Amino acid sequence: MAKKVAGMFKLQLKAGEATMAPPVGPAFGQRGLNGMEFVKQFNAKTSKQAGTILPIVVTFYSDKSFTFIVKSPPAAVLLIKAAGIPKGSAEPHKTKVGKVTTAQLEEIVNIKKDDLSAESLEAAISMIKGTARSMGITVVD
Amino acid sequence: MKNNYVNVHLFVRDEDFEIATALIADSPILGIEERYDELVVCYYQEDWTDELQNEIIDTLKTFKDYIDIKEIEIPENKNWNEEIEKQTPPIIVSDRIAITPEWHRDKVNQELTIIINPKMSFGTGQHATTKLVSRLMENLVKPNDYWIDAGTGTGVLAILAAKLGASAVYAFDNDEWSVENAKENAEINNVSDLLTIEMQDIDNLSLPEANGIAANLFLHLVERALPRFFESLKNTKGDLLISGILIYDKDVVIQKALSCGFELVNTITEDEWIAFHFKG
Repeated sequence: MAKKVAGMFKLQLKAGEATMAPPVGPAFGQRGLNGMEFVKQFNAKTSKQAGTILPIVVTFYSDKSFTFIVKSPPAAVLLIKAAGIPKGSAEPHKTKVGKVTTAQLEEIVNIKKDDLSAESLEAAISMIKGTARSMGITVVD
Repeated sequence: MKNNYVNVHLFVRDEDFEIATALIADSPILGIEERYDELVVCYYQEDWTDELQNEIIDTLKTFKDYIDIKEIEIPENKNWNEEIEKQTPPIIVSDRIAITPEWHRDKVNQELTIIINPKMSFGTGQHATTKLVSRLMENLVKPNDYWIDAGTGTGVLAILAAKLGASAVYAFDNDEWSVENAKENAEINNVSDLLTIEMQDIDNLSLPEANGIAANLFLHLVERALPRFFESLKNTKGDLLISGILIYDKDVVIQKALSCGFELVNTITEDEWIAFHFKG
């Protein structure tokens, strides 16, 4: 018999560094879910990407069991890493804070291919280019 | 102590979540909960200074002027795992070893019964990784051994080493909750005299010579610590027990350990978890 979905919630956590501190403890505890089990699973599954912030979607069921999906890091975070800068520009039209190459963009598309809704490689690159523009990151060949 | 938190509720429209997150990701966040048109960003209270607040709000407002703080909430500092833990049954590790909360003490009759009142530290015995390493320790800890418990959590493995006959155990964890909880559990189990429990980061720690190391950790920590584990065990030809590793990462651990000089003795598995016994 299929388990009945009771709800879902979304978190963003640093890979390999989850603890029972907020937001994990309250998000799981308030729903009667075993947060400690999540911490162990999440850290084990993401330890190779340690420190990178990752989006997680947790689905929980009426029997208090849960599953979770770890998505690829947000494109904006990958762009910051690729450009080697601490953060994006808050004024992207006025202040350019870094550069990424087309090859780096393709790499980001590759990392995010399962999470992007784009229908072709070109569309996916264009989507990530748009994010780069909104962060003051210039794309160079 | 870093045990108090602050939840900063930001009004951010869903379509701006990604860039807003990237703009604050280099601040010392614990994590973020995404809600409808809202990001709840969690910090330790001591990290959430006026300076940080001003910097974050300035940055976010320059990105999108409408973004603002809706609420700054100090969440109740409690054991979030309490409800689930109250349902914690006693765990029978083997014929000799059981791990149980105090309130189920009368339900087990194992010769070595470890009392762990579950709080917010890892190692209540419920998890396969704790059971696996406990089973390996059962036949390896000898009287008068010196053992190390790397990433002690509740202190369960350090307490087990002491109950199995070790004359001294050095246990450490980088989490203050765990160090406090491990000390409480050592008291309850009457092994405080044999245990030294400290808050230490495994990456900055020089380990003493030991007869055995129990490390229920994560892959990236294990990979970095293996050379130092070998230094600690090479003269005694001691035992290294590694747990907390998913079966899919088996080869990575074995290759790294062999390259450090370890010999692989044995592996055991439960569910999708694997534990290793290496010899120094």
